[in-house]
Amino acid sequence: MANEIGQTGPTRSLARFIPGRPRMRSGLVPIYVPFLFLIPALILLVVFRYYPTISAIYHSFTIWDIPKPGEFVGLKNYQALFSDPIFLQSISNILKYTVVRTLLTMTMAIIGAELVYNLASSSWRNIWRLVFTVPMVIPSTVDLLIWKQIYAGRQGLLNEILVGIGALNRPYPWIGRPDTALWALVFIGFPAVAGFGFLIILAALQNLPAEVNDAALIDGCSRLRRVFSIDLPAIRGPLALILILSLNGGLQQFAPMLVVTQGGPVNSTMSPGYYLYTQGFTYGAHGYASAIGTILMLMTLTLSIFIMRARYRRAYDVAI
Amino acid sequence: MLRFRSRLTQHSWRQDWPLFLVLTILAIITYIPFVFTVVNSLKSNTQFFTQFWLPVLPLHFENYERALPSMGRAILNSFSYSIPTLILSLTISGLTGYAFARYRFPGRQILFFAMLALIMIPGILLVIPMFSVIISLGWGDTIQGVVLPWTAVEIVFGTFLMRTFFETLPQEYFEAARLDGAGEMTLLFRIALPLAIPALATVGILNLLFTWNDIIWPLVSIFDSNRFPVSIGVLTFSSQYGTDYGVTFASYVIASLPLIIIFGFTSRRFMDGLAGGLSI
Repeated sequence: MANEIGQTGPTRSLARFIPGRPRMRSGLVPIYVPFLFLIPALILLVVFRYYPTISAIYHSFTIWDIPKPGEFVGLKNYQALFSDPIFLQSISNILKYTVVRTLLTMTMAIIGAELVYNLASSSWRNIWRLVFTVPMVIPSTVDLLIWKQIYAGRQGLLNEILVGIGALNRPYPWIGRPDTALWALVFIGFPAVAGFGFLIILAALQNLPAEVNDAALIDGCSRLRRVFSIDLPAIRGPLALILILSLNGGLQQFAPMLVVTQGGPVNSTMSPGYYLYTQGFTYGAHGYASAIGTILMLMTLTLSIFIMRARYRRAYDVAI
Repeated sequence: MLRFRSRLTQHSWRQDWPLFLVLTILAIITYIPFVFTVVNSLKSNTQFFTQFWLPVLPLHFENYERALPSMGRAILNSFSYSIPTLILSLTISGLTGYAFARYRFPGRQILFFAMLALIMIPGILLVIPMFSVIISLGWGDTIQGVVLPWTAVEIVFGTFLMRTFFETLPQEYFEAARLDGAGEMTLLFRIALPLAIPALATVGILNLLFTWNDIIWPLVSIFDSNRFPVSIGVLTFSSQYGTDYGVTFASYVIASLPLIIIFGFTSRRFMDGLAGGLSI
């Protein structure tokens, strides 16, 4: 083969730039061609992703009021943050929110996907998959506003049900009290089956070889045991992906606080994301807000790396 | 008779009824809020306060008439931001994914991982510096001020999906065409792109869901409330009409319609697109 990668000879350096796999024999491509394809993406990413990342980290060490340039103050923002009770409360809020919310959504997505996957009829599987996909296209702001009304003390759906069955004597303002507001946000969208997690897990399950299941059932393995011993270990790649997306999304959560509670009552639902927004765009403290963002980034980066390492630590794996 | 079940066996009600029961309960809880919203969007306030659950006659369709002007404008605004983003990000993700999948060039691995690393950067961190960029470009309150940053968000995941897809295409197609004298552009437009339509459709749908739902970037970069997209428009509308329950609920229904209609045409693609499996 004339252009095999690793060969010695005059064409070796060119061979690396041949499109596709190295066994290609004809059609040398000028080296600039792939870069031409990449240019639009690179420009956009540099202007709107890489530069802002660096800028945010730099400006977290400044007092910054856009459009004025930042004034360098060293670690002052961070010192202020770690003695800011609202920020500290927002961190504790978001940790509770993220952990419970992730547990809820992942458990329900797995339960939903397993229920559908175990149906014998493939047309029923498709129907149920559709049933739990449609709610995903409701705009998220609409969803949040509907849930705000569900939790409302006046004409709220949850209170109507609970008072109706006699579990409560009188309506309770779920999002109006500091002790329940955060948990109300966690349970928005209950039972939280419908979502990307459900679709991805179901797709992963349906890609598993059917023979494994049949073999397990012949060997007398119960359905429940199969879920824990075969299904879940086999789809841990997709599960790790959903876990990372869910934890990262949870830590930066912003919309439920903005739409439903505005961080209240008494900061009981304040999240770092929403605090960043109010500091930056209500008070013009863009440097302080950047410091909040940088701490959030450190949290999400640490978490993502930790999950990736855990996922690849064991040698055995089932290729999906 | 063997008591195991495979995908080939027919639907057996006796075995599956517990699954159906649990699924039905989950579906009812999931849909109650939406049904409740639609039912009460047709009531006046008096009707809503006297009959919480059931539909009441007469139906107040004028709630929809009152919500329509604001929500219609918000929907048009949303399309004016989402469609350019969709076109741009599909084009760019396609090109980038193709380049990463089919060419060997110096820095390929590094560039790809540098792109993937962006997935781990929280979007909310970038909102403030991006706001500064937009202000210094004079793009506040403009379509490109919303569209280009959104595109930059979308092309990361889009490139990832498109690269995975292009790598699955058989090499032989390209070899054969090249032997027949096809140039690089012909390979891209005549072979790769037609085959990539299903993958592009999936990326496009995910794209549309993201841009339709994103609230923070339009909130930061759009100042004129007449230009707000649905995600913010429905919020400002409900804060104006909050005490008029029927009208507010009608605005929720109108705001949800465009994506439901689009989904009606693309549901198969949407659900199957993810069936290839997303994994790390």
